[in-house]
Amino acid sequence: MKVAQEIISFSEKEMHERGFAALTEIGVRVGALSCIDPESLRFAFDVLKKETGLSQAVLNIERVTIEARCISCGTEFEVADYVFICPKCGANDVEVQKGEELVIAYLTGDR
Amino acid sequence: MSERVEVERKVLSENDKLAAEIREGLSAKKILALNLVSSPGSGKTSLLEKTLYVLDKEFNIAIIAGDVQTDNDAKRLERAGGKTVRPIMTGGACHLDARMVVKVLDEIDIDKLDLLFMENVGNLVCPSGFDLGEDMKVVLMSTTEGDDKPLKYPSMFRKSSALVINKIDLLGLSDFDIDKAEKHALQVNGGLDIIRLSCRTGENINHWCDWLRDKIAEKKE
Repeated sequence: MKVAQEIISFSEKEMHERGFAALTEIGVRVGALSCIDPESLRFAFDVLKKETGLSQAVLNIERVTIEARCISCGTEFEVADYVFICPKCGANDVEVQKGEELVIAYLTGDR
Repeated sequence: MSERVEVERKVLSENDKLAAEIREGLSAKKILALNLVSSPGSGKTSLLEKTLYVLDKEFNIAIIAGDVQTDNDAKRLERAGGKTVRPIMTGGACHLDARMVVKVLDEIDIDKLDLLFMENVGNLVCPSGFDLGEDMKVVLMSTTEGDDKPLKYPSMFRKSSALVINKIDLLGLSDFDIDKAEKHALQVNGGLDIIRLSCRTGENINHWCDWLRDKIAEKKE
């Protein structure tokens, strides 16, 4: 809910500042580690947008899978099922490189 | 005419900015700040009560106790000897955020503090996204929960530095497999310090307090 609110208030502000008459699409990237369920986010967004100037905007959600890098051997790998263990050397000392993001990527609007 | 603009804006950047200010302010005074997270009922408040019994004379400790409603936890902690306990009632929000913490920190004298606990709202999902300016998160789970909790809520376990497994006095009374729980937690985060204890009997509370002493000492270096 809070996240949907933040997306709406930021987008509305940008819409006015950039001189758009209306926004048609808001693109967000949601990492698998961000703790945001894309469907819940979409639901909250669709409920909240009705009260705002974004009533025609569609939320386009791109899901980002988790990618990590093994600190011991340098192997880069996609993390499946939240197992943060290097598939090559078995070390569990890994750093996450992708998948934590929760980002508004772009706005599309009409002038 | 339709036009697309790239904005690349972190959704929680306002919160992140405030959290960075909190972190800077606390670090300047060498105060160790811990964000304590768990499901409801794992024993966050009990752990803090025990911590106060042991460490209250050794260190200056402040506690921010977050709850959706009631200041019951804050009252419990005051009864346990907490000298600086402040409740935050989120009024519906399922997590603390940096703005709430800033407001409370303005009200307390942090000059002589060694340790600040931020007891988050019982919830393993949303609090993981909201930085409060802590040095680290400590996640609690208990033996009356599922031993697969780290796999169900990986983000919280991934972002925590330590895991406390509470209620070990009840081991054997449920199907909770503590070794399996640890294995799951380490799968998600190999860097976790893990402490098994019982707030009820006091078993291993000293291990937890030693861990805190080490972290406070590191912070003061």
